[in-house]
Amino acid sequence: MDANPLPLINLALSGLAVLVAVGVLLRVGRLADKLTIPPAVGPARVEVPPPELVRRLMDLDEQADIIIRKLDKLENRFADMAMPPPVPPGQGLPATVAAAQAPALAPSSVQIKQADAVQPVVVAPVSVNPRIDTVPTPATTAASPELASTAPSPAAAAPAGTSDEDLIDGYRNKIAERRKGPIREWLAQHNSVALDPQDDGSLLPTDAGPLAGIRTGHASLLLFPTAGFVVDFATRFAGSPISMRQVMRTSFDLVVDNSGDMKLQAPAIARLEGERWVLERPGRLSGFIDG
Amino acid sequence: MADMNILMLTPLKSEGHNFKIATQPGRWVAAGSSLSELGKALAVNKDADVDLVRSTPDPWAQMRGFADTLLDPTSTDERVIGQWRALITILALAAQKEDAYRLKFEAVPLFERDSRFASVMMRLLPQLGLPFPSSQDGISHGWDRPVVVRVVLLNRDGVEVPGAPPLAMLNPACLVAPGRDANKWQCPVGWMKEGLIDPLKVKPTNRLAPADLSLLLRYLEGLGQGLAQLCQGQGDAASQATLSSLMGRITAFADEVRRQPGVVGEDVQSFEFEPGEPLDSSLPAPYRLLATPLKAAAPAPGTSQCIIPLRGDIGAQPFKGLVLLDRALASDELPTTSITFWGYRTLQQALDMRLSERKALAEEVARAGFLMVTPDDFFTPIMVRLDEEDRPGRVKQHPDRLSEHLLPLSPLTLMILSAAEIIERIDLSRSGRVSLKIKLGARGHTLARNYVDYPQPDEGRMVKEVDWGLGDFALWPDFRSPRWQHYVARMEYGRTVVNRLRGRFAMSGRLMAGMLMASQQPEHRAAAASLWASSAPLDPREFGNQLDRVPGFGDRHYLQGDLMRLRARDTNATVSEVQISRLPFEAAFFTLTLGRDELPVPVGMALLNIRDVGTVNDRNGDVAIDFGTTNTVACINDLSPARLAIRLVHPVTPGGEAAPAAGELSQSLREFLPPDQRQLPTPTVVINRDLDDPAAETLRSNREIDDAMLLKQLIYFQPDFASPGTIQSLGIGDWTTLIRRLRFNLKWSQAPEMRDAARRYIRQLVLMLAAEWADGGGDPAKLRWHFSRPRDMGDDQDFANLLRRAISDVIPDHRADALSGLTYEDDAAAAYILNDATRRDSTKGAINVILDIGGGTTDIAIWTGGVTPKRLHPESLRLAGGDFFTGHITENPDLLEEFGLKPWANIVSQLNQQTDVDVRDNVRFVGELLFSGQGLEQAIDSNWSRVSGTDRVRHLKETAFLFLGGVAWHVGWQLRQLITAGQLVENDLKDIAVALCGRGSGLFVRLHGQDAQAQTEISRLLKLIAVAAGDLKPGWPQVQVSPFPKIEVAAGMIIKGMQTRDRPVGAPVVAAVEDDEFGSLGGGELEAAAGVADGNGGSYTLAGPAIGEPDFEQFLKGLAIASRYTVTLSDFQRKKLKNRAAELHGLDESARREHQSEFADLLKALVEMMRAPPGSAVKPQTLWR
Repeated sequence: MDANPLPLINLALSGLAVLVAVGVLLRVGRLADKLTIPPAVGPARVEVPPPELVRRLMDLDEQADIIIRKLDKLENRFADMAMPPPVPPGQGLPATVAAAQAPALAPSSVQIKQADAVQPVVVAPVSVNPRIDTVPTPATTAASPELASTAPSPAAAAPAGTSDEDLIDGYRNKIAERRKGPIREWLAQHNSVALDPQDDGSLLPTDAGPLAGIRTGHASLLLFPTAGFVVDFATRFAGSPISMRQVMRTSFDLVVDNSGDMKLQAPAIARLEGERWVLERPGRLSGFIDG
Repeated sequence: MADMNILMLTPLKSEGHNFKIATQPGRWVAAGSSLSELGKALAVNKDADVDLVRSTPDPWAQMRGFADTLLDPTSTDERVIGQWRALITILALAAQKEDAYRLKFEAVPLFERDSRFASVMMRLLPQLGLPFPSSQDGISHGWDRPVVVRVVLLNRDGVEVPGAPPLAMLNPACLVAPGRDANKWQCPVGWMKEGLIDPLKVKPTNRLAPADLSLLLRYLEGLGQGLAQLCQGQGDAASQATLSSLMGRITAFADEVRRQPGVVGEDVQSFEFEPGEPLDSSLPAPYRLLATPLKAAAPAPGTSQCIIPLRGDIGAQPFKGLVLLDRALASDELPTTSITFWGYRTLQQALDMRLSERKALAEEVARAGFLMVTPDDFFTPIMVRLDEEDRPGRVKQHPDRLSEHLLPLSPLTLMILSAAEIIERIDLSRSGRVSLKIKLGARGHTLARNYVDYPQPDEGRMVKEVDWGLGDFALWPDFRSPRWQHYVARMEYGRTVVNRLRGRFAMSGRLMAGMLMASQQPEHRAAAASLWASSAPLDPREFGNQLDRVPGFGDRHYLQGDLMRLRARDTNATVSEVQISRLPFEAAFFTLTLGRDELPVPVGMALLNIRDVGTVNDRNGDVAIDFGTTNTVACINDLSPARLAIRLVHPVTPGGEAAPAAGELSQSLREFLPPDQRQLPTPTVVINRDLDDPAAETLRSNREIDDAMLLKQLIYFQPDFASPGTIQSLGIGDWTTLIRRLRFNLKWSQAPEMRDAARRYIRQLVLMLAAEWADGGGDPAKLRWHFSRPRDMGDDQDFANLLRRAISDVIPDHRADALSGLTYEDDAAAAYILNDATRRDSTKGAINVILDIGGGTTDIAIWTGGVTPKRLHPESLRLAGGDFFTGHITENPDLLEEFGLKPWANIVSQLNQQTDVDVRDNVRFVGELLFSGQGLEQAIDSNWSRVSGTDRVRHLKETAFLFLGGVAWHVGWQLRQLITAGQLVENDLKDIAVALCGRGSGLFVRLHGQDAQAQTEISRLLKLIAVAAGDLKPGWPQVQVSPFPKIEVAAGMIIKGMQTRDRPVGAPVVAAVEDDEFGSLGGGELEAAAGVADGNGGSYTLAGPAIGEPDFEQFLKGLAIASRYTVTLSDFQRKKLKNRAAELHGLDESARREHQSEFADLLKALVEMMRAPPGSAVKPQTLWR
């Protein structure tokens, strides 16, 4: 008998939501502490946060909102489906689902399903409005807020049930449309975060980086060229590898096929290294012209 | 006849009624009773035949009643008057409307009819009539011979439509009267559509055209005059009264016609008319008068109230104007039927035309030199909004409401309005209505189109969130001047990208006019202008008949008039095009593809932000260019290096606060012009444009296109990478790809293609420098151009020709002495160095030595001191910075790591290992490219104090000091000859000033500093000058450096140029090479060498008479003292040294260059060996004290 994975997915989603909620509590609470000017008694321990940090927090908060909304939708979708038969003993979660342990941010009050029981989970109000995303927060991490506090932001995961291959195929299909909107939309649907590759191989979240990172596991990202890069390719990058390097650094190897038509042969991969994302393996783009 | 009963009615009963017996035919008597009573009064015999009832009522009643009413001056019966006017108008316009209807006349001579009815009619003939004279031809014009009129309609093919009923009758009372069925008459033509009614009272849409009204007026005037003449002195008082009444009606009709819009007044068209022929020559004279219509003469070209004039500022007018077919031209006051569209055709008529008819009319209009247009010809089908989410675009020139839109206008708009006028006259309403006020008649006209998301047939579509790319469409320069004639545009677009603007061409009204003038005969220009209207899709995948708006571009290039255009590359994914014009552009035009399988459609224009420099001054100017081996520098009228301003124009720029990422565009725009400001010097390198095979073939087969400016090869402006990460991330393949397209060694290569590349390089530099001058309001024709050359460069004439051609290409009307001549680089540098105004803390020495150390040559000049220094000896060594600095680094790339430039080191290392000979041979030049920016300089600045003592840097110093010491020794040897020749005295050796010039002097300048009097390892090294000249106790020479690297030669030429600025025009273009004042100094007498201890404990040896191998040995000893390190050569290395020197000698011979001295060849060879990496067998051993 084939196992129906829906309950497990549901369970995973619920788990995710719980993790996110916990993560948010811890993270936001800690950040709130940091952002709060200490009492007048004694020397000031924490400096007033720089505006850049506040902006980052707000950006992260927006991203978290998006993730939460998507999780809510997914959750509702699964909840509406008929309850599948129970999972046979010994059968674990599908790998792709298990990998999608992205912490999400819970709204102040989120209905999180746990198996067949629905219990309201009330997240305590936080003192700082921006809610930020966190890295995957295992139970042990919760006790180590310092580590989590400096973790990078691209922590949202691709929608559950999406394998790497699905993602890559989906991306390829979208870039084949050669239209910015659908690519951007697809990347947003997959909770991508714009990243800017640095000289040292690290990837910094920015508003307009050339890379879109999609979380595929606890500590791994698939990196795709953003919509802007795809539509700029023909006129800016195909005939000028140096131009491409100026924005992409070493994120992708170039394949010269003299077509001028960008194709993704393989996405780049980033891994979580300490507190930052770094390029683990460059991807491969074809379409370059040997001028 | 008075008592005769009239056989009009059956007899009346004798009593029982009030009717009287009629006694006079044709005279009506009013009866107070009804028809019912009349019926009862008739004495009808029950046995009588029906035919006894001959007429009930009077058969003339219709005619008579109509005439009586019309001719009653007091009558205001609109129906009667209207019908009569309608009939008169039908007659009047019969010739004018001969393609719509035809009149047929059918006389009814009652007196010839043998019928009871005719008999009755004859008996009842009306007596009313005009005072016509008696018929001359015997044809009656009386009531006894009425003429029936039929209006036979013609279909659009000119064929008569059968079944035309009798409509009216010509008669001698009111000339024409309707028949009984006139009320039912229908006709689909113009003013008759509403039936037989007053043509001046029809609906606006059916009104008579101005031409028709004018014709009608003339007809009525003629009819009145004709009748008056015909009837003058005729008839009795009653008939004259009838005439008077009729004339009153005619006059009233004429007056009313005259008052119609478009008939008389200042702003009306005038029409000429031709006298017509009688429609029926058998008609009696009075009726012929009536049935002889006029016809409008062929209208004069331009007889139209719909003409849009061409702009007055586009030079010669290629055609006469545009004729606008637009229903919106009409108003309540001036309906479409009252607007003359073309000749005697009204706007309404033109609007009503079938497609074929309209086409025929358009051809007629075009033959007259006008272009018939509709609003569709000005508006694009799609309007775009550049509000793409993460890349909003903005067009600065557009009015605020349209600043994030392209203007949905076709290029044709630029034929009628300038860019400035468009800005003033265009608007966008909140509802999406785009309006454009154009010049048309006295009041102008507003063209308008609605752009909405879901358009109706007459509307355009608004497409939002359209993407665009900075750099996809770029233009140069950013100004226009009446004295500037080089305007360039580059367009690139992706074929497969959807919803993104595609730059298609840049255009201006003047340019279009010029192209039409150049490419078309006058009679065809108007029709040809229709290409610039907006309708058809552009650039389909295959080259169709209409690739784009540039006619004749089907074979991928266009060259005519003021425009040259080439599609340089066309792949499945990308198209790249270049457009070069002698006239400034006003707008950039775009297309858009809305779906992958859809053809692109025009989406309008972005007006360009191109400044007008205004009035041009007549200032003279000097430009000096030092065309160097590795780098080139120039000055414009002053002594500082020229700055090439940012002159790129982007039709669309980033909206919001985002600034254009110019730095990131430098590579993608490398086949155009730099997107950022450039201060010279810049590498002497060109890049070949990436041409596909068809484009390359075009260049091969068309010399003019091949030679076009900025097309085949361009100056390669190396980006000064903002972040070293770019270089770090570049693979060797990226570099080799680039290097294969670059051309180095432009100064020295004698290969024809390289000479051509050199010319193109210089030409572009002349272009860009002239642009700097022109943008300041200057006239490029007022510039004098100064170029330098090394002494041993070879044929002056060849170089001068190259320069002359480059200048002429850029400034065809240059002054006669535009090429001021060639100045030897050492002379130019001396003019700068020895100029008191440019010296800082240094003073002139008794002997002044100028070492201009370039990338490929070191120019040496020896000058006396004094107020007017004399040049004693010039020389040029083919040994310079490329040998001891760039060459050293490229052979020892690890050195770059010392300066924190590991990525650079990796690149150079990998390039050194390339098997591709072209790449490997050019590694040094790649190094020059890398080092040309600020990167290396900044890295050395940051790290010098830390690394100056390391082995790697010490090795660099060894190579550099060997070079500088060798040059110093060489100079000293020459001084010795001058002393021997009596040109100098030995005491002069105590006062030597050395100027270090050129980019190659950078390391020495760094080591010495700016203090001329400083005693440094460099000034100690330069003591060798005095030593080699025989002063064994040399003093410290002054060492002068200039504030800008490599500026001395160019600045010196400016100084010299200013001194000769007032030279008469026409002086020799190429200055004669100055003769050496001292003849050949090929050696002197051998003096005994003597060792003398210097202050540092070493001993110098005097130089020998011939600068050759023996001197070299002595030099090495001297170097050991001055530089603090000893060079030791093994036997193998000595052999290698001599062999290499011999090889260099042979190379000069094969290149037909003047031989260098043996010393120079040995020095060059030893520098090469010295720069070899540590561990190399050829690298001499050195030992530092």
